[in-house]
Amino acid sequence: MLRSLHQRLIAGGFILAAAVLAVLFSIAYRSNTRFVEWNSLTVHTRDVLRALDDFTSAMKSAQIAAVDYYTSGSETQVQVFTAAESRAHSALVHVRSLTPDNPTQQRNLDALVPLADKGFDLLREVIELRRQGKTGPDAMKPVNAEAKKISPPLAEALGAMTNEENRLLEIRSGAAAVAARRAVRLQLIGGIIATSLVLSVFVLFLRENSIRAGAESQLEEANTRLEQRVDERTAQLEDALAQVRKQSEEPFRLFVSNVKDYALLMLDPDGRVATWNAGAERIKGYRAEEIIGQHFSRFYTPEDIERGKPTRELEITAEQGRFEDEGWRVRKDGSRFWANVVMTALRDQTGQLRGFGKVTRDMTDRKAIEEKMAAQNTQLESTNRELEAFCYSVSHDLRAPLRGIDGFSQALLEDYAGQLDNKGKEYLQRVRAAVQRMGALIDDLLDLSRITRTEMRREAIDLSQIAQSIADELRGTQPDRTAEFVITPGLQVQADPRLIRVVLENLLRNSWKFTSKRENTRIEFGRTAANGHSAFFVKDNGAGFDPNYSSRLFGAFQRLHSASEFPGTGVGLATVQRVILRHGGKIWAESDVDRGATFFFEL
Amino acid sequence: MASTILLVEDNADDEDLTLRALKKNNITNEVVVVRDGAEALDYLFGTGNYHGRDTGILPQVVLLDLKLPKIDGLEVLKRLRSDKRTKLLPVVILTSSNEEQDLLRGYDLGANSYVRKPVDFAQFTEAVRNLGLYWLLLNERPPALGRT
Repeated sequence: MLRSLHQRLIAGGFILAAAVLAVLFSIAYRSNTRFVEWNSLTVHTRDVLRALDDFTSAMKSAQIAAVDYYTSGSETQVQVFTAAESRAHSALVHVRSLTPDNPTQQRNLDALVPLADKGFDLLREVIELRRQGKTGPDAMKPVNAEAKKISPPLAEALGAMTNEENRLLEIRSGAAAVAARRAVRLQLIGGIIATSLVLSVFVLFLRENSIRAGAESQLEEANTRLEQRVDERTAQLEDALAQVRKQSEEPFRLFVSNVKDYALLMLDPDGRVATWNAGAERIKGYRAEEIIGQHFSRFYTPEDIERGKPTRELEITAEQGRFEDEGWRVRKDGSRFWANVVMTALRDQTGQLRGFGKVTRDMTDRKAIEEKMAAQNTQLESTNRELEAFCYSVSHDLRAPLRGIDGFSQALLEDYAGQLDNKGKEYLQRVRAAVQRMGALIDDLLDLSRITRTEMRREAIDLSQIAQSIADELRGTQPDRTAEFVITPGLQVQADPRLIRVVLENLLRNSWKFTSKRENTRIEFGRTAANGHSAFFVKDNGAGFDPNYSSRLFGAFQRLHSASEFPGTGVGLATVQRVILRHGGKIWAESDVDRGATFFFEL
Repeated sequence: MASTILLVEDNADDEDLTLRALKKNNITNEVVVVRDGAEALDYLFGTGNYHGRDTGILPQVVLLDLKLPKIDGLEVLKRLRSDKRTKLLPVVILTSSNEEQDLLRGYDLGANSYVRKPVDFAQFTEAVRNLGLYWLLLNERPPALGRT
């Protein structure tokens, strides 16, 4: 508020000063103008005086010239006289033209001119006298008398005019001087005011500056103090925060430091070890104080270090956020171990990389076990193959003699029918029957071995379609049988088509076989939810089997019925199981004696 | 001159049974029996024991077993097919094996037919009958194999 008043005062003062200056200026301007006017009038008056002067001197010259001629008779003097007269007249004309506004002077002039004319006339008379030769001492007397008569009034008139002009001159030049003085004075005052105005502006400006400077330095001081306070506060808050953080981290620190099975450590963004834990010490052999600050590449094998693996893994981790690897690492004592390593890039909320987290597990034991298992696997596989090759060649070679037995038995029957009694024929038939059975067994064995050996292909197959075609075949073998096949359509699965066909053939053929004694055969094929998963099933209303013996169901050559009841070699279900197992599935059965059987399988 | 059948069979039982089956089916063509792959080649090319045989005369059909001593059946077949004289000679592989591998190789090497020897003699007889009927009566011989 005060400042505003102050400012208003200053503004008012300036406006006032400006107004004063304006007034002064106009007054000065007027004074100047007036001075110029008086000055020119003064000059004017001097011109008149000079003209009067010219007249006077011209008259005197004329006078002299006339007298001179009178005495000398020199003609040149006449010319001089004429010129002087002319001059005098011009001067008077000039005076008249200079003083039109002065009635006094005009009156004076009116008195003077005739007198001047008279004077010149007298002089011309003188000249005439000479011309006439009248130069006696009395010749001039009349002229002189006349001259005496006019010269005082002439002089008077002349003097009056001169005095008048002088009087005017005095007035005018005085007034001009006054005006000049006035103007100068005003200008001086104006100058002083203007200068003092500028000075006061300057002073005010300086004052304002110093005020502002004062205010600014105060402000700066206040700022500095404030900043100090803020810094202090911030430091306090940070301390408090660190405390809180420490407390909340306590459980984690406890956890990390105690875990012994995994090396849990942190690296700084350059890959130097920042933290260590008990697990790291156990696995890698270094104590915390000897490893913190070291670069983590020393855990790698020399070959890996040469190939730049540590740096590259850090780069990948930083890029993708995580990196997992298994490889050889080196302990403190130089021994190697197989490690599973997971590295994670640690970023704070601004997204800046703060370091890396590393979890290492010593997999040496596991690796040893894995290698042993792999070796065992290879061993088993080669053993398997050998066994199967053996199986194949044996069963193949067994067929030939069978053919012989059967063939020659038949030959006997045919060629020596006459020499054989019924018993003999019967024996031979039994021999042949036995041979057939053995042939069937060998075939089944061969099939079984082939199932295991062939390469499996998985493709989308329609089980329902396969089941239907097998059902049709079965019907074709005994067209007179009443049989009902209930097959759920559209059951699809990913499996080897040939092998699955073998499975369905065996299962459906079994069902067909074991329902052969029923009046109405009913065989179902479909899908059901059992044990929480869905499984396929083949169900029949046939003879079933005793569930107590179900563990022998899938054994090769195991039978739960006698061959006289139902023919068969006992290899069918073993084959089925082999196929299902190769698909990674499961097979089981439910049944009760005379209550039919249901075989379930998953693939 | 009747056409001959070349039976390449090492098993004496199988040999007898085959001949018996042929007889039962009234197939009376001369049957030449050789016991191993080497002998089969000797016969067909007129070498070794069969030196001097007229190799222009070739059998109507060769019944070839696969499991043979010395030179096995597939090798014999291979050599037959690589010789101009026997390239077109009809060869029926008659064997116990129904291994897919043997089938594939047999056909691959140029066998005309592949028949599995069943254990059951009745079936065997039937098989032989069919073979005889087909190869000896129905099938047309390839040309330029010599005079019949």
